[in-house]
Amino acid sequence: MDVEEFEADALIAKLKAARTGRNDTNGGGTQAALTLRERFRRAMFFQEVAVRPNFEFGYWETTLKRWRDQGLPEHVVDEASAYEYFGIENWVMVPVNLGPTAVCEHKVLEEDEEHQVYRDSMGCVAEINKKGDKSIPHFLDFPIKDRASWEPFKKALDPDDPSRYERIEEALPDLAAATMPVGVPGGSLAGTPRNLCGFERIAVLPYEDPDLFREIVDTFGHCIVTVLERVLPLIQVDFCMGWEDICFNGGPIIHPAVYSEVIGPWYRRIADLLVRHGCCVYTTDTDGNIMPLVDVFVDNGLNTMFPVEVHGGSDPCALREKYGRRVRLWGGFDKMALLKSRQAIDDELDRLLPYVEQGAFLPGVDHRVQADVPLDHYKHYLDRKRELFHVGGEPKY
Amino acid sequence: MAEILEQLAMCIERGKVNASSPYPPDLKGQEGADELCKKALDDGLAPNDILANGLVVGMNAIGRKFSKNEVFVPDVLMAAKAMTAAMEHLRPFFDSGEATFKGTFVVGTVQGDLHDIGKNLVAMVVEGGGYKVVDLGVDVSPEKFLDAVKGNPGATVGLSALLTTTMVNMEKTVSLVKEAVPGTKVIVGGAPLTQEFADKIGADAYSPDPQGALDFLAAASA
Repeated sequence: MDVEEFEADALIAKLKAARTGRNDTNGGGTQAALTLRERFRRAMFFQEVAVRPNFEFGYWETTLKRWRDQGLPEHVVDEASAYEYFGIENWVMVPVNLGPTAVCEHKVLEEDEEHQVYRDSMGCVAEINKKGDKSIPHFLDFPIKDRASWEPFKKALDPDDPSRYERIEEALPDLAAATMPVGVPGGSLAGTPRNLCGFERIAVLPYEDPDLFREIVDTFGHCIVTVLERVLPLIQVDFCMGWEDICFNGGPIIHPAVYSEVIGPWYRRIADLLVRHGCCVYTTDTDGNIMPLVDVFVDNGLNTMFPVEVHGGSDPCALREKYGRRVRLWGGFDKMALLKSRQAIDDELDRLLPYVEQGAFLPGVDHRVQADVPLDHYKHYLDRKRELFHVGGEPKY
Repeated sequence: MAEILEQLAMCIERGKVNASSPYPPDLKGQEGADELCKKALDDGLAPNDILANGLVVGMNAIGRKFSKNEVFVPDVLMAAKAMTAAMEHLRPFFDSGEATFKGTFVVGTVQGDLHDIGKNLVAMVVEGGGYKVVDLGVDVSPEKFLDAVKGNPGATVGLSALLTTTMVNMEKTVSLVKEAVPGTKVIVGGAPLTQEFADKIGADAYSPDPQGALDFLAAASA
C-alpha cells in the first residue's frame, strides 16, 4: 500500500479484521504460535523466525481485470480479496494524517471518453487516461509556484488541526489488539512538496530559492514531528512508513548533498522520536534508484529500504553487502522478472535467498504487479517464494 | 576556441543562468550564460559557432557526467536552464535561417502513456546538443508521430514509455513510421526498456540516458 494513498475508512475496516487469532498454519515448533505481528518483530530484528511475514506491494488497477480472463475467480475484485486469495499477509496503519489538509475541493475540470482532467484537493491539476493504466497521473499544473502561493499550505500543515486525529480514538482498541504489525505513517518531506511544486521546480528550488525550499521542508517536518509526538504515546507501533517517491532511474531528483543538509536532520528527529517510543523500524516508500540517498537515510536513522526497485537501479543485495545490518530490506524482488519466465522468477528468488536468510529482509515484488504479468507467472512466484523463504499466509488457489 | 565560448560552456555545464542567479554560490555576481551569449553575438561570433563551441560543449559535458552517475538530475536541469537562457539570444537567427540546427529530433511519449519526466530530460539535452526538438508531448499516437516525421523531413524520432503495457505502442509506432518513411531512424528509451526490446521492435537504438540519445544523433548525422 502506498502511504500516500492511505484511506482512513479502508484502514478502519481492515483493523476490524486484524483482531484475529494467531497464525499457526505455516510453521512448526514453538514459533507456530506466534502472531504475524510477533513474526514481523522477530524478522525485522534479525531473529530466527520459522514463518516469515508474506508481504506484497499490490497490483495495478487493471491487473486483476486482466487476470479474470486467465482464471482469476470472480470474487477477487480488489487488493483485500486478492491478498485473501493469494495467501498474502498484511499490516495495519494508525489512521492519522501527517500531511497537508485540503486547500480546495476535488473537481473534475474536463472529461471525455478517454481522458479526465481534474484538480485535486491540494490544487494540483492532473490528467488520467481512463482507458489505460492509471498508475501515475500526468500532472499539468502545480499549486506552489512561489512564496505567495506557498502561504496557504502553511495553514494546511497546522499540526493542531483536529481532523488529523479524528479517527484515532475509534481505532485504538483494534490497533492495540491487532495481530498484524501496526505501522504509523511517517509523512513526506520531499515527495509531497514535489507533488505541490512539480518535478522540475522542486529539483531546482534549492538553488533558485534556497530559503523557500528550507521553509517548505521545515514546515512539513514540524507538522510530522508534532503529530507523531502526540500519537506515539497512544499506541505501540512496530514500524513507521513515510512516503517520498523522490527517485527515478537517474537517481534522486533532489541532490543528495541538499537532501543530507535539509531533509536528513528531520529524518533524524523522527527516528529518535520513534526509538524513544520503542519503534526501531523506520522506512519511507521511495521507488527508483535510491542508492545515492542510502547514506543519508542510514546516517539519519531511516534504516529500512522499501520497496528497493531493482529495475529502477536499486539493489537489495548490494545494499546488504555495503551496509550489513545497518539496513533492513522490504521488497527487492525485480517485478520485471514476473514478465519474463518461470526461470527468470526462480533466478531472481535464488539471487535474494542468501540475503533473506541473513534476516531483516521481507522479500516481495518491488512495486505493484503490472497488468501484463501472466497470472500463471505470479502464482509461480508466490509458490516458489513460499517454498524458498518459508513465508506465511494460506493461498486459496 | 574563443575564451568567451569557454566561459559560456562552463556556465552551461555548471547551471549559471545569469548574473542575478544565486547558483552556483562560487559564481555569485558573475555573468552567466544569458549575458555571455549576448556578449558573444555582440563580439561578432557566428550563432552556429556559439552553439557548437559554447552551448553544445557545456551540455555535452553535463550529459556525459549524468550518464556516468557523476551528477544528478538537478544539475542537468540547471544546465538546461542556462542553455535555454542562452538560446533565447540565438533563436532569432535559427528562425530566420541565418543559422542552422544539426538536425531535427521528433520526440514524444507513446500512446496510452502520460509520463513525461524522462522524455523532457532527453528533449532538454538534445536541444542543448544543437538539434531542433519537436516535442509532441504525451500519449502520442503512431499517426501523430508519422505526421511529424512527414512535416520534418530527415528527422530522427525518439519514443519514450514508462509503462510496460504501453511499450507495445512503441512497436506500432516504429512499424508505421519506418514503413511510411523508410530510412527514418528511431531511438527508444524509458525505465522498463532494454536493448533486447529495442532490437525486437526494430528500433535503431536504445539509450538508458539522455546523453545516449545525443550520441546516437551525432553518430547518425556524421
